Amino acid sequence: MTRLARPHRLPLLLLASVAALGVALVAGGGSWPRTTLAIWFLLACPGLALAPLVGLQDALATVTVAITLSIAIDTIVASALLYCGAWSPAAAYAILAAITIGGAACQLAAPARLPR
Amino acid sequence: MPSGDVEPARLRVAGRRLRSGRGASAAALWPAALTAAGAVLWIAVLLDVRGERVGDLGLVSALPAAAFVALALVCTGCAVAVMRPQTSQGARLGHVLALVVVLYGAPHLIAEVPSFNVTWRHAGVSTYISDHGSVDPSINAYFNWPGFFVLQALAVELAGLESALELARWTVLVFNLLYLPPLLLIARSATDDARFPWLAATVFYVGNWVYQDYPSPQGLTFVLYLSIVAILLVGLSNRADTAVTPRMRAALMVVCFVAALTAVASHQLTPFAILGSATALVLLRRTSFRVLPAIVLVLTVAWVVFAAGTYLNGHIDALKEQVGQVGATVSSSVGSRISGSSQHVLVTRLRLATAGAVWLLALVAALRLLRRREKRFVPHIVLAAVPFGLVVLQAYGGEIVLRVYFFSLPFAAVLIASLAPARAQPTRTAAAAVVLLVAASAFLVTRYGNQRIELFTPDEVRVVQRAYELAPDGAVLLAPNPQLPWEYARLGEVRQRTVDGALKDLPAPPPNLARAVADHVEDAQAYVLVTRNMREYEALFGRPRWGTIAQLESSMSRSPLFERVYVNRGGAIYRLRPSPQGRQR
Repeated sequence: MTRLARPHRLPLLLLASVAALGVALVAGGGSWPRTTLAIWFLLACPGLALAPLVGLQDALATVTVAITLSIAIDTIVASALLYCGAWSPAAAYAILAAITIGGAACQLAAPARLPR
Repeated sequence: MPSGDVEPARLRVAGRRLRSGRGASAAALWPAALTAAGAVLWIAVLLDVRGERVGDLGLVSALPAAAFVALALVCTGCAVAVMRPQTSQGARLGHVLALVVVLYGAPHLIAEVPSFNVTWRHAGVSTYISDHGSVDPSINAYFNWPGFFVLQALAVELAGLESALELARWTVLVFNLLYLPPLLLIARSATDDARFPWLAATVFYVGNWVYQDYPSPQGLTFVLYLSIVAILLVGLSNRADTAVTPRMRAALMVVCFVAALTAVASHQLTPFAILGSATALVLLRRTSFRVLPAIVLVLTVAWVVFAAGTYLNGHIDALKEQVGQVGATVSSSVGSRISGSSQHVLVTRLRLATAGAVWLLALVAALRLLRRREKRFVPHIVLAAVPFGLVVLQAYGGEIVLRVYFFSLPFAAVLIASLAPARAQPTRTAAAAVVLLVAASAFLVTRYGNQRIELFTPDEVRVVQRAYELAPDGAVLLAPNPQLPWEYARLGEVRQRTVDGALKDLPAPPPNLARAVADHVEDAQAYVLVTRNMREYEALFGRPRWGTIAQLESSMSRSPLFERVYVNRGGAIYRLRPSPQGRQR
């Protein structure tokens, strides 16, 4: 079996996270794996999808930017839905998932930008 | 300034350094063994601690000797690993993470239900957002800055939970872990010594006793504050050795912008801390993002005027009065807190001593660095001082000095870390371990000194739950003081007030407390809740002016105006009897 190239691991992890949370949302019910997955998704995924595209060759700076972006994007998306009178956790998930998928796809298309 | 273990300014990632440490001898593993053994022992000991054993000194009064053995093991392992030059960056990360888990995660193991009354209140705001899909600034000031609560509501929904209370136990730990990357970046911008960021982070974690990192807007926006400053110091620095392209620079500016926007929408005070720090870095010519202060100012003013107008209209006079009242502000933040039982006064004095020691050490370090012309530390010296400007703005409910300490601490920690010896000789490393143990022990007292009143029992929760079941819409729930797990539900449906607040304008203790409470609520249906924790609060801080909780309960028990409708080991509920003609006054 061929090992995945290292630059592909992060975007594939992000895509897997989006898919897993989507399945958990459809399945319903509460459990600690779903809670862990949801917190990981909100605090890391949108930012980790976009931060490597900035091109910083420094993992610590990239992680800092990723956390910051995740918190900011989550809050802005959810608040925008709220103030527009369209509060919907499912819609917020869909938007955040689209951002994550878009960023991950860009990383897969341009893996050289990932921090070493 | 430490200079023993120098790395290039462009830090290599933890993973790479981890690999470089693989060849280390078995001798390098004993700090890891100490820390791991200490952390496991600490958690095992904490799982056996019962909340009711907590006394006026807080958590430490309930800890057995084994807990301090565990803490000594963790502090020794951590100090040795951070100080020794041959330790890999990955190993340092592991030790600091273990210290964070011990200091911030494990103490929550003893809580049967989420502790701290404000955590319950904040969960209630998020529950309202989940249930209504909107905010109502007329109900609660929090709805004027809802960012954190909206995010918390989203997290609850995506996690499939009933309430944010189910997340509360681990939020403190998660927030502190999120603080670590920007803290390391901020410290790394001052020196190339690979040990230095970990030293600074360790100082921060043992110094952060102010408990602003619970599930709260300030806890979340502190991540954004640290990140913005870190990005300005590193990615958007004016230093010649930063290899940032114009495209990266533009992207980092966008990151700072969205982070500032999120902070503005989430918290009243943090944007001013960001504004002050960004302005200082621009004036020092240490960042190329010179328009950030103007952007933060415009966003803040626009938010206050357009989104938080309800709050502004109701509080503008009070806010204007507080501007420039430095003496009254400091008095309300410091002087008024030194009260209560003798042991609680000791806790309060130790808190003040810790804050004073941190700032004094930072001042000594700053003077030493300036004398040595260490120019890379100049931004950190200024950033440690900038939060003091917040005192001029307002008292912030008597908490502004706590907030100043919180915003100043990351940079004070960097300055204090510069006092560490450059070479890690065994005697100096041993001294560092002792200092860390003393600081961590003091942290347990200062950080968890209020645990006696912050820990709730399931019975107390059931009292509040029963009150929510009994009270019809529009009813008033009254509690002698705010130390109960309430406001987590029925926001906007029932009014929740304290007797302290209701009777504060009475010139003297009323002869009939039951009638005084009944007169206050007029013709509304009212329920008075009395719980175990409120009595603990009274024992710790002293009786209020209107009387004691025992006097109130006695008065309600004897009065025909009230009847007791619920009781368990955690407390009781008294209902104001309805009267067809209204009550006689």
